[in-house]
Amino acid sequence: MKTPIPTINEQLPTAPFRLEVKKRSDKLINYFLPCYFLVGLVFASFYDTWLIAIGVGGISLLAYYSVKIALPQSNLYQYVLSVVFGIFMAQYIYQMHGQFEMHFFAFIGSAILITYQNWKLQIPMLLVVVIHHVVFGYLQNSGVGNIYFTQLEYFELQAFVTHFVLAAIIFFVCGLWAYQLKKSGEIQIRQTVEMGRLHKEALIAANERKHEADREIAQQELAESNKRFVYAAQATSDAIWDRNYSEDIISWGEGYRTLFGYDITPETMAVSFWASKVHPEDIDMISKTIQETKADRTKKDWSGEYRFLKANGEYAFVREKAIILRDGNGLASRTIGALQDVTESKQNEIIFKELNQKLEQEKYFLDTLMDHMTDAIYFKDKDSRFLRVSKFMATKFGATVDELIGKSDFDFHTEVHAKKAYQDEQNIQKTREAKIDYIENIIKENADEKWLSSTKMPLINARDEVVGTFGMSRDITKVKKLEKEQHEAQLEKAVAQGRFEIASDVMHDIGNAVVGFGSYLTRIRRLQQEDSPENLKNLADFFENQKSAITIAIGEAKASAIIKMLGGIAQAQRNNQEEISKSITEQLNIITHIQEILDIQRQYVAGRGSQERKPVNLRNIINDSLAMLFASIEKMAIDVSLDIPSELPVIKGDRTKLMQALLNILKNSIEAIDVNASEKTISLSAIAHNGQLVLRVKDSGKGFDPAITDQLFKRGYSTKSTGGGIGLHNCRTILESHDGTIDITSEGHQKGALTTIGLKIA
Amino acid sequence: MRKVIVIVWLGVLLAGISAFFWYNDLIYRLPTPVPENYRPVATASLIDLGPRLPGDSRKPVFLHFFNPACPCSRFNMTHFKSLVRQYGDLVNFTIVVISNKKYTVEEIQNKFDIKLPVLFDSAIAASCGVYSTPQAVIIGMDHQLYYRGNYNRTRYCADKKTEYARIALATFLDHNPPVVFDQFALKAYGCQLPKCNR
Repeated sequence: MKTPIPTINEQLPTAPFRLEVKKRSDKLINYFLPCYFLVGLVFASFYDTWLIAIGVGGISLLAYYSVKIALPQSNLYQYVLSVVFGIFMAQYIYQMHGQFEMHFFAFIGSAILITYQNWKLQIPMLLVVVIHHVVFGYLQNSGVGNIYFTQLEYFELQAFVTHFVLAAIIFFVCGLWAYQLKKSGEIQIRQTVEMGRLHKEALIAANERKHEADREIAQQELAESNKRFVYAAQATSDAIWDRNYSEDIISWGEGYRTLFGYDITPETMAVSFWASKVHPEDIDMISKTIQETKADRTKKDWSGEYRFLKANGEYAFVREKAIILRDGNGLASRTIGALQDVTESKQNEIIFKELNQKLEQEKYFLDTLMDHMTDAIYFKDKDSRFLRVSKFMATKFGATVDELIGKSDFDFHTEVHAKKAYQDEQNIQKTREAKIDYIENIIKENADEKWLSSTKMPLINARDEVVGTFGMSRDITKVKKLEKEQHEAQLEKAVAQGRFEIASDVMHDIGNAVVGFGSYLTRIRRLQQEDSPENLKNLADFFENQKSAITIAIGEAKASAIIKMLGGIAQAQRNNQEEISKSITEQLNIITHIQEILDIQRQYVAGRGSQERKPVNLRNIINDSLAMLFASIEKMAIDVSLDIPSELPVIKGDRTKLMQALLNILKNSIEAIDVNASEKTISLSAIAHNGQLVLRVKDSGKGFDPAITDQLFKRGYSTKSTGGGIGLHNCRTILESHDGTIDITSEGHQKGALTTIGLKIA
Repeated sequence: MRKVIVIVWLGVLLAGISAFFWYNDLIYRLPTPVPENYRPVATASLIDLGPRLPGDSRKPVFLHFFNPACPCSRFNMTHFKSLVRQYGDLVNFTIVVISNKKYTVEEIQNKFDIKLPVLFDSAIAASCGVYSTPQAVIIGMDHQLYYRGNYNRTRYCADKKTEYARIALATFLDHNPPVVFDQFALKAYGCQLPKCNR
């Protein structure tokens, strides 16, 4: 049977095959050629033919590769290779000095060339061999000198022909094999193509048959399955779905349309379509959990919740439950599930959660208020029993919050108060009118008074029903007490003001009286001076001179008695007059002092708070003060000693006020001294020290308990039974207004006191 | 155009290959240069090598001047061995190694695979008028130089017609007068002696 020779016209895919042969052969030559070169080097080592090995071998390689690179599409390089093999053979023969065995390289080269499956490649090598032998054989035979082409004595034509024929046979056989290989390859390709075509046809036919059968079964199954699916889908409002992992679609039930508004089309059934509708914030989590569940071979079902975009653009909260079907290897092959729209319950859940949060917050606020406010806050039921009270209130009631719940005012307060409160609350519930900011005065059983500012309101629920009362009470007892104190202080102030006014009036009246008294005294003195005692003496002298005449008239005894009586009267009058004159002088002095004191007092009363600051000499103030108190000092027979330097530094201040202060201190000292005491001394000393003028007044009076030192300067405090407690307070006020200090110390009762005044030197 | 260039290029390469072959062959074909201080020793001259020569003094001496580094010497070994096989009983074959390298007797004998006396005395070469390797020298029992020359006209020693050493030896053993050889026999071809390099 003749096999049709395939040609290119038959459209056989031989080109790739040929290209493959070429590639493979080129690759082989890439190994063979370097080996040829290396073999040349090995042969060179025998007879030192390095020049030939490297030179000729190198040029041969160069010839092959340069042509291959220059004309890659052409097969020329293969023909060059054929020549190169011939040259290598010649090279080896030359290198080994004509060794016969080297000729076998012709066969090796020829055999190698078969790989290209091109019989023509044998020709160039054949030509090289033939031409070489012909040329050199001819040259040698024709006797050209120096030609040692053969070792044979005579290269006969017969031998030449024999050699050539043998070589030609080799080349022919190799060429034949190349040709056969090529041909058989092409036949194989052709057969393979034909086989492939037949196989394909057979497969298609078989597949068609199988498909036909499968389709029938599948259609039946599908019909059955669809029927069930439709029943199931109809029976539920959920969107039922079915996914086979060998396909990229999800089969949806009717719920897909009714719940989410998507028509069931190939496009909407695509897995990517579903994924694109899952909320972007949920898709990663959902994909991840689905993948994890699929991968976990122990898992048979999956459920999750996510947001799914409906056709109308709104997101629905869906709850998905699915069962995973696995193949024999445990790999997920199919998943069937249902999507339930839980938007409403989800929204309710969210609202509930928010409400709950709000409620929690409100509770927190209320608890905070009830636990920390220092007011009594309470809620009561209709019968005025506590529903809730603030912690503060519970503490005030002497109980815990829980203990108070269910109890009423009757359990803690007097019946009167509890009843009143109860009636109030009933009234509020009845009228629905609140009692706002009213003051309650509670008198406790121990008679303690307590004031509360309270507000009570009706407790009305969401259905507008009165269910009790609530209110708040604040203990304002302290405020009330403070108000009372302030009131009293104002009263005291008013009294003091009144006292000043009265004092002012009194002093005015006293002043007037003193002036009147003085003028009367002056008049008495004048009259006394006019009433000369000499007249009476002259009368007495006259009677004595006229004694004889009187004796004559009334007798001597009587005359002598009259004269003596008159003399006595005159003498007594003279004595009396002197005494009166002395007393008047004394009284006038006292009046002057009184007027001075009044002046000071008047100035004090009239000019309270004046800030007059003038250079003042302390020594003068001391002297004046002592002068004003001279009478008292003398009366008390107090020994006053002074240690005041004649040149004291000048200070700036209000002379009157400073004097008032000093008078006060001196008076206190005088009054502290007992009239019957054995030692009655007041010593004053002044020194300038550290920019201050320090005045010390020390007395031998009764002193005081050092414990009360701090209270001495308090307004209203006095150690004297008759004292008003204002003196020292004023003293300190005066001195402090002068940037000065005052300090009183005592070592105890009957140990005297030391008053130290410090004043800034001007 | 490219093809033309490639063809020309291949022609150039072919010429190069030819040139290599030609040049190499030319070098081989040139006689060994004669050293400057070379003292020619004519045939029939008396060569007194004295006690340096081993072996039976009743036999002629065949000196084979050999340099292992010389490719010509190496190639010649086969031919020399054939001579030894043929005439070993009649002639005292001795190998004279002319080399800068140090060889032992065993090494040289191993190379030839024949137990022959081996000398390393380069003075022998001068005495015989030898200035290349391989060279053959035949000295008669009367110590006269019978032959000093090449083994063969070809490097391959394949030309039976020009097996000069064999011919000379055969002639000598036949007690014939020395053959008159042409210049290809007597003019030394081969490698220069290491010490005589110009």
